[in-house]
Amino acid sequence: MSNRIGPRHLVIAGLLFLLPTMILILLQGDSTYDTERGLTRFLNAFLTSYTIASVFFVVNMFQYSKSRKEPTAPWISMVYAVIISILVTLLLTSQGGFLMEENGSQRAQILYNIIHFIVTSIAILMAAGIMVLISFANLESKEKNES
Amino acid sequence: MENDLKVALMLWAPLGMLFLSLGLQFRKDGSAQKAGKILGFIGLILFSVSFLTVPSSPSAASSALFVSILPSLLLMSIGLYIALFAGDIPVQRFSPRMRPMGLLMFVLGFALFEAMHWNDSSMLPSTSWEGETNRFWMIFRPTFLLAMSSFLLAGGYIVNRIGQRISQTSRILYLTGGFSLLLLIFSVLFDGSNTTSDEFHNSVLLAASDLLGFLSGVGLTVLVFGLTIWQFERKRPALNKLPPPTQEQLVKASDIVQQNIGGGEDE
Repeated sequence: MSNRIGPRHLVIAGLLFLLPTMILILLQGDSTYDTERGLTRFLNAFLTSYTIASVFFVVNMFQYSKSRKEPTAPWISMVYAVIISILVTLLLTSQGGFLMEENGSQRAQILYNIIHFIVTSIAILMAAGIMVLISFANLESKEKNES
Repeated sequence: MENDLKVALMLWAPLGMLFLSLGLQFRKDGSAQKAGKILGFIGLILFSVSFLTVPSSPSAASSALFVSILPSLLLMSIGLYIALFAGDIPVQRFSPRMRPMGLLMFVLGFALFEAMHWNDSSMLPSTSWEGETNRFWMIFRPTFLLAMSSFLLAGGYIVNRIGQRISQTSRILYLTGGFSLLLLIFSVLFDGSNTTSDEFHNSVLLAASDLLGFLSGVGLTVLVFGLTIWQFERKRPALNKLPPPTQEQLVKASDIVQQNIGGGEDE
């Protein structure tokens, strides 16, 4: 058994990650899935998670700048983050205007995106937490297992 | 306007307190961490009751959902925590006899979570809000099950590649991931107590968009900040080109080591 993870293994893991989604798409049959709404949800999730994660990282960059004596680090990272976010937002919203779902105003959509992000984050973190806890709760020596 | 202010104070301010509390946990200062915990606790309580204090806000449905799923989430997390620390590990905290109880708690928590979808009993926490299925429940459940099957199936494969103590773990990850996928498939084929299979199928495909959008957004952030850090780190001299540490640096390092080893009550 090799302990190294190569690109081939990462591709297989990625395919296994996408397997449930692919099965569900295949099962779709003639049910009516709104592709445009799906794309809007993807873009809103992408922009909200990028924005909130960037704020979190910028705060941490202040800590980094202090410990590594690099006072410009947070400001440079902020500039990069802002440039990328402007480019991505322009690219994503140029096709269909503001990414509105079933909300009356832009402010309502932004607030909804934040709550949506929190609900999705709890679901994802809970799933990831279960994976980690199940992994560690069942650690057992391979030698012991084989004997 | 008055209602907006009430919503801001009763729902958004508590959420802000939770984020602030999370940030304070990264401070080294013990008192800041303690203040953060208190702030987080107050924020959590205020947010949990916001579906009662500001029911007119559409976002209050998320608070109602949070209260409904809390028992099952707590059962699952505490159950796995007990199962983990009752196992044959050096940092064992519970008696090995408690391990089956921990696993049972996890199974019960998961069963309760699923029962909320399949059964409309008044004994179970409600998934409705203002007479309809809570729209955040239609986001949470598909995302949770989809993320769980995806993470566990991919995790089962990765775990199998990297370690020596993994046979059993990998099998259980595959099994749990497969079970979660099976539940998703059942949900898109059969109607639940409050939702049709078609509605759920739509929700689960939208959840896939959310999951991929979330991971791409976080991935891009890691990439941007990783590149920034790399830019600073590459300017530093390689370790073998550094001068030997001074006496003062050695004393400082020894102090830090002393502060972090030796074990407290927890270890």
